[in-house]
Order: sequence, then C-alpha cells, then structure tokens
Amino acid sequence: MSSAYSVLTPGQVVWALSPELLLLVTGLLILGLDAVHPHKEEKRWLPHLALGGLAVALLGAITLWGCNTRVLAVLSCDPFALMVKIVALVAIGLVVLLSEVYIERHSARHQGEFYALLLFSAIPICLLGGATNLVLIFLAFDFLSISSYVLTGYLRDDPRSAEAGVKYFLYGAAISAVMLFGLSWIYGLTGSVELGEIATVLPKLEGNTQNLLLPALAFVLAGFAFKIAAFPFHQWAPDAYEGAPTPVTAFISVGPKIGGFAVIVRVLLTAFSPHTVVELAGNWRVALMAISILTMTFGNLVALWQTNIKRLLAYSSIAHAGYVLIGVVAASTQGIAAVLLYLAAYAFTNLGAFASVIAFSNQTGSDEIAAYAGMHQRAPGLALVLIICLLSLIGIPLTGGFVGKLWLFSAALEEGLLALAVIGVVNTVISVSYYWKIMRAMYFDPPPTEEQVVVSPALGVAMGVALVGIFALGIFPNALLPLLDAAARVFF
Amino acid sequence: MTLEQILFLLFAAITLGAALMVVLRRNVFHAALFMILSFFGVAGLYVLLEAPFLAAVQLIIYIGGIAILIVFAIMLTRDLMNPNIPGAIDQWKWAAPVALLLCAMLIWMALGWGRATPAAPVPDNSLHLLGRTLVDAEGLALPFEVASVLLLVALIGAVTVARER
Repeated sequence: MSSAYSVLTPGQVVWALSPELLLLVTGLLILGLDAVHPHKEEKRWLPHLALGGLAVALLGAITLWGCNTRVLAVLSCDPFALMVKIVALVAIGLVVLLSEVYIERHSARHQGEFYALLLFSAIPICLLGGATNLVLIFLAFDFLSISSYVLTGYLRDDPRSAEAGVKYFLYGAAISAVMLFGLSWIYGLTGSVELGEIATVLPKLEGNTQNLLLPALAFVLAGFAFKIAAFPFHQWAPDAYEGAPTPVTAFISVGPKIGGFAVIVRVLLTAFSPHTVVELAGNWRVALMAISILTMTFGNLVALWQTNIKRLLAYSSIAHAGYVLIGVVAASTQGIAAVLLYLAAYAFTNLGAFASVIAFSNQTGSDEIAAYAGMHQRAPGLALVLIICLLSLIGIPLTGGFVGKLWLFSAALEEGLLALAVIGVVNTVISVSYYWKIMRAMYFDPPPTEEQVVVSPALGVAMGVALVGIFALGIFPNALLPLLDAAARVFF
Repeated sequence: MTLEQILFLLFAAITLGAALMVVLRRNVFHAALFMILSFFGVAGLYVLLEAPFLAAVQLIIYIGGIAILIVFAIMLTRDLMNPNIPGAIDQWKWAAPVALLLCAMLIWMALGWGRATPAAPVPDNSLHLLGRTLVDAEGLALPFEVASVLLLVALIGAVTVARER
C-alpha cells in the first residue's frame, strides 16, 4: 500500500508528526524546568507552559488539514486522524485547566511530572488517530494505558487513588495480553501487520481460515472495549473514576475513549470493512451491536443507584460509550461523522461537568451528591454550568449532546437498525432520572451553609470553553458537517 | 515422529506446565521460579523456529533481566511471602468455567481448521533483516521510536509511583 503514496521528505515527515513531537518536547521541557525550579511559587506557570505546548500542537494539526498521505509507512495523515487529534488536544487542554488548582493543593511538590505525563498521554491518542499498523496500534495502546495508570494512582498517599491505580493497571495489563494474543492471530493468518494489506489479503482467504479470524477479532475487540469502558470490560471504570484525582477522572473519561474509538473505527473499517469481507463484517457488527445495547443499558441502570457524583459520571460515561458504538455499528459515512461529533460534544460536556465538580469539591471536599444540596444558592453560576452540561449529557436540543445523539440515531435508522435506535432513545429517557437527581439536589434541597463557592480563574476559563463548545456544536453543527464528512469519507 | 517434533512437544510441555504452576502455586517466590522455567521453554521453541536471536533475547532479557527483577522485588517486599495473607481466590469459581470454555472453543476452532500453515522459508540473514526493519522508514522505524518514548514515560511513571513521601 505504501507504494501508492509518494515518499515524504524528512521535513514533511517532521511536519506531519509535529503534534506528537511538540507534545513530547513540551513534556520534556516541563520535566526539566520542574527539576531546576524546586520552589512552589515557581511551578505556577507549568500548566501555562503545558497549555502553550498543546496550543502549538493543535496549530500543527490544523495546518496539516487537507493532507492525505502515509507517514513513515505506519501512520496515516488524513482528515479522520487530524479530526481525532484536534478533539484530543482540545480535550487535554481542558484537563490541564481543570488540574491547576487541584494538583497545586494535593500534590504541590510533584506538579511537573503530572503535567508532563498528561502531555505524554496525548501522544498515543494522536498516534491512535492515524495508526495503520498493528505494531504501532499496540504500542500506542499500551503507551496510553501506562500513562493513565500512573495518573490514576498519582496521589500515592491517598489509599483510594493508589488502589484505583493498581486495579486499573492489573485489569489493563491482563486485557492488553489478550489483545496482543488476538493481534498475533491476525498476523499469523494474514501474514501482515499493515491494515491495508490485511484488507487485501482477507477476501482471498478460504472460508474456514476466515472463521479463525473470529476469535482473533473477539480478543482484539476485548482490548478496544476495555479502553472505551464498554460492557463487559468496564469493571475497572467505577473504582478508577472514584479513586483517581478528579482531573484525572476527567481525563480518563475522555482521553482513552477518543483514542479507543479512533482505533476501533480505523481497524474495523479498514481491515475488516463490510465492503471487502461481508460475512466477517456482519459478525463484528452483530457483536458490537450487542455490546452497544448492553453497555448503554447497564451503564444507565447502575447509574440510577449511585450517590457519589464521580461514580455516577463513571457509569454515565460507560453508557455514553454504548451510544457512540451505535455509529460504529452503522458503519456508514453518516455513522462515522456522528461518532466524531458525539465524541467532541461528549468531551466538552463531560469536561465541563467535571470542571464544576472540581470547583465544588475544592471548596467542600466532598463528591457526594447529597453535598450538592442548595448549590444554586451557594454558587448560582456553577450550578447553571453543571445543569447545562447535564442537559447536554441527556441530549436536550440546543446542546451538542442533542445533535450527537440525533446524528447517531438517524445513522442507525438509515442503515435499518431500528431496534438499536429505539433502545438508544429508551436509554436516553432512563438517563434523565439520575441526572435529575443532581439537579434536584442543587435547586430544591436546602443548603447546609450559606458559604459561597469560589471558582478559580482556570476553572472558569475551562467552563467557558466547554459551554462555547457545547452550544457551538449544538446550534451550528452544519458548519462542521463538511469537515466531519471529509473525515468519515476516509473509510468509504 | 521426528526429533524436531519430540523436541517441540518437550518444550511445549515445559512452557505450559511451568505456566500452569505459576498460576497454581500459592507461594509467589515459587511462582517466579516456575515463570523462569516457562520462559526457558519459550526460548527452546524459538530455537526450533530457527530464530536464534529471539531465543538469545528471551534468555538474556526475560530470564536474565525481567525474571531476576521480579525475584528481587518479591524478596524486597515485606510480608509478600507470608502464607497467612489471603489470596484473592474467591473469584476462581467464576473465572475457571469461563477460561475452560474459552480454551475449549479455541481448541475446537483449531481442530476445525485441521491443517498447519506451510512454514515460511527462514531467510539466511534474518537478524540483518530484523535490524533493518526496525530503522527502515518503510518498515517499523516509527513504532521503534514510539517504543523508546514509551519506555521513557514508563520510567518517569515508575519514579512518580515510587517517589518519596
């Protein structure tokens, strides 16, 4: 396949890899500066440096728009990859804003490593957007996992954080072995680790050899499902979400999901495309449909009983992975455009929600929903932001969440998946009741104290960006349509 | 039965038998020793596949490096070898049927396939090719570099996790 593309000059390769390289350089710079500036006051501008690095990386990704080529034979630089990078970099930027006060308060001495690891964890997400080689996919997957484990257990002296990190690590290590086993089968059966070559070899294989690919694909899908926290590979999520430092919870609810979905879409639609291997593709579509239905139903039903807001958002994020899978099952241009739009809307919405959760817990030190009683009197602005984010998570018109769900469900209907769309709508209705629980506490329960909640400037900026994102995607989604369409057409 | 087949069965038995013991032994130290034996069996399989370099890497890195590190970690961790620590074994009743089912399914599928892949000819200069692929821009140069960044991040992560209070 690589012969079909012209060979890039070294300068062009560096340009094509500029987002990843800039993230790496900024991360190393932060580590170095952190080491030579031991004093707490001097560490204040580390997050600003991280934001600067992310902004330049974002700029690099934007300047690459329109490129459609292969970088170093293993990475595709196409609209889909760039869209994933842009969403991921904006999301990580928001996570940096969320972290500023929290990390200074809880781990003042070790801020450098935190921001460096956060930037490093953006590298594999960017790579997963474009990786077309199973070796690179596996490496990027483990890269993302390892940085996520460390970030989850970052507050080592807090037993909950340490426990969450260990649980996440043990679960992830086992599942990445399973995934590697599956990848080795795919390599053994097709003789290639390049998605494009696998796609050309697969239709030529005999029927029973194709059947052997089924368990292989199942193992690989298990690894992908772990990354996006889909049922039944979600068990790590609630504990990891609850125990992790809240900004990290925000990160693992968004970052790994973006990377995971990017790789699911690329692997399934490039190597196992419904156009080349009809029977095999039919099988994975049925499997993903089942996972999608179970994931959203399970996530939404268990979320009903939660009393801790981080745990509640964990189950809600499991449910959202189920919705996004609908677009993958549809396996159409519309479906993939919907996946990208939903991921962007979900990233803004969830990070906005976590921004208010962090602002609130910075003041009260509690993540229990009961502690949100009367919040609209103590912090009217904060309560309003959280309400808007929850409404977007439900999918109320004018918010990005609404447009995302609308696109996903209509993509399913377009492909004749009526049952999937109906189950999605029913789940949306179920989800109203647990989001409502938070709203009711904030607006109708009496506040325990009259003390006002103070919001730090960084969190304020994060909420502002999140709100702009939610409404921009909710009101003007058609402005993005040509870009999303170009990204989705990479696979069709 | 050729000598090669006998050796294969021997090494396969060592690998799987030792791997089983790793899981079954309650004593972590013994489990680590069985893991070394299992690694050794894998090295034997590599030799049979005419991949001497991989076999050497397996011996040097896995047995010489990783396994020894694990043994050190076990010996330096207080109370890890205390037999009174309850193991997390109440899950095995659920895990065993699932694992057995999966195993049966894989064996059934392999039997249904019914034939071995024709062995690809081993290139004379396989080591040369391997080295070339790892730095070739049309090969695996980027994954190779990503692996080095991954190791750096793992190192930073390890220091972060094990830092002083």
